[in-house]
Amino acid sequence: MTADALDTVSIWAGAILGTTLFALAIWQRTFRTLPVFFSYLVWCVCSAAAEPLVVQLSAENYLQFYLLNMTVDDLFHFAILAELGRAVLRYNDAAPPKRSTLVLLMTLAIVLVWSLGRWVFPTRLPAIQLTYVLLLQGFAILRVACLLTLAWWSSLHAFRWPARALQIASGFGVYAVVSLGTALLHTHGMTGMQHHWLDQIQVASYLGALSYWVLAFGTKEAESEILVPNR
Amino acid sequence: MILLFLQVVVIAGVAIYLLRWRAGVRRRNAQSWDSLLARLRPDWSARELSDQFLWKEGVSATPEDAWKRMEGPKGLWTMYQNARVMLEMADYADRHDQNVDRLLLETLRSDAMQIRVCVLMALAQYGFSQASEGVRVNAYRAATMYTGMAARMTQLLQEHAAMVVPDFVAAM
Repeated sequence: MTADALDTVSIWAGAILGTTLFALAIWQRTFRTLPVFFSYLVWCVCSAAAEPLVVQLSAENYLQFYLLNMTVDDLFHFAILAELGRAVLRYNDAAPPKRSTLVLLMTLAIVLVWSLGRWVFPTRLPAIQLTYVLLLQGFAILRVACLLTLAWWSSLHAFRWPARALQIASGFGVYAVVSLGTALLHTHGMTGMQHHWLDQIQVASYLGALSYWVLAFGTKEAESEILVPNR
Repeated sequence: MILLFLQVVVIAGVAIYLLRWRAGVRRRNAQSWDSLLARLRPDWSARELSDQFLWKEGVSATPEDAWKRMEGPKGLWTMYQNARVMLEMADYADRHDQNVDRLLLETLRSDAMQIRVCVLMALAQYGFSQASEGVRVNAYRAATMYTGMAARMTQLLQEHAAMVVPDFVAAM
């Protein structure tokens, strides 16, 4: 299979999985318990529908569209992680965490993840491509750092997780770790097809997360696991 | 090439940590009294520090003496792990009985957090300076809070899960 054909398959697979997940989320009434995650699914369906239109109508502006898409996507990821944190608090009937604790954990996580790489900024690239590289690296670091903060904080308090929230966090976990890995490998100056295959690995992890969520949302949440306070 | 290898190893480490964390959360969601009691570490007991352990807060020893009786880091680590299990036991009791005292529950949560922070500080200090004055003071503070938490836990179990009290007393 050629790289172009694989890209097409990925785009279609993403659109089909995203739409299926959206339908399942409506069926499961996820908009009531996890409104931000549901809004993200709406966004995914809309951006998947807009992508072929942008390619057809204004192919030269595709990179700008992609950057905007990627930024909104990642902002949604952070909002969803915050929503999962609130769902865990509600489920455990616990008080919100101290801001200082969260800042400390987040700083530790960022330092840990940042220190993993020899992050380079290819200043010779055109501005738009430089922005792409910076966003790719920055979001990859922050995504894993936020996830680690959530995991440390919930471990510290020995919190239980509602099944649905844990499923969503697991999907994000796979995507976050793989995207950090590919961002790190990109800093080793891979070019041409190597560069392309690395991006494909990241796309595959995203499709994997979507598939996992489709399977998870296909099963009804147990009554005891629904995201409501326990008293 | 070495850097690349190290990066892959560390990312694999992060992935393994997240997998273990997920397994821990799933286990926590499916716990029972038996599984919780089985996780209490019996290799060291705070009875060495107080005659009225499990019934009354307080340590009947000086910081120096307490450090010897808790066998150094071994006792500290047991307290760290048991504090977490007791916290999960309190949450479990709360889920299965609507009448658990909120204040008692919050106190137990706070106890668990403080004990664990204190133990980690003591262990970190111990790593640098062995059994210095600061280590012994932190260990003593952790032990005092631990006896208080254990007494409150016994009280909670007596009121809301009396059938597990004998097993809890035996395990602690």
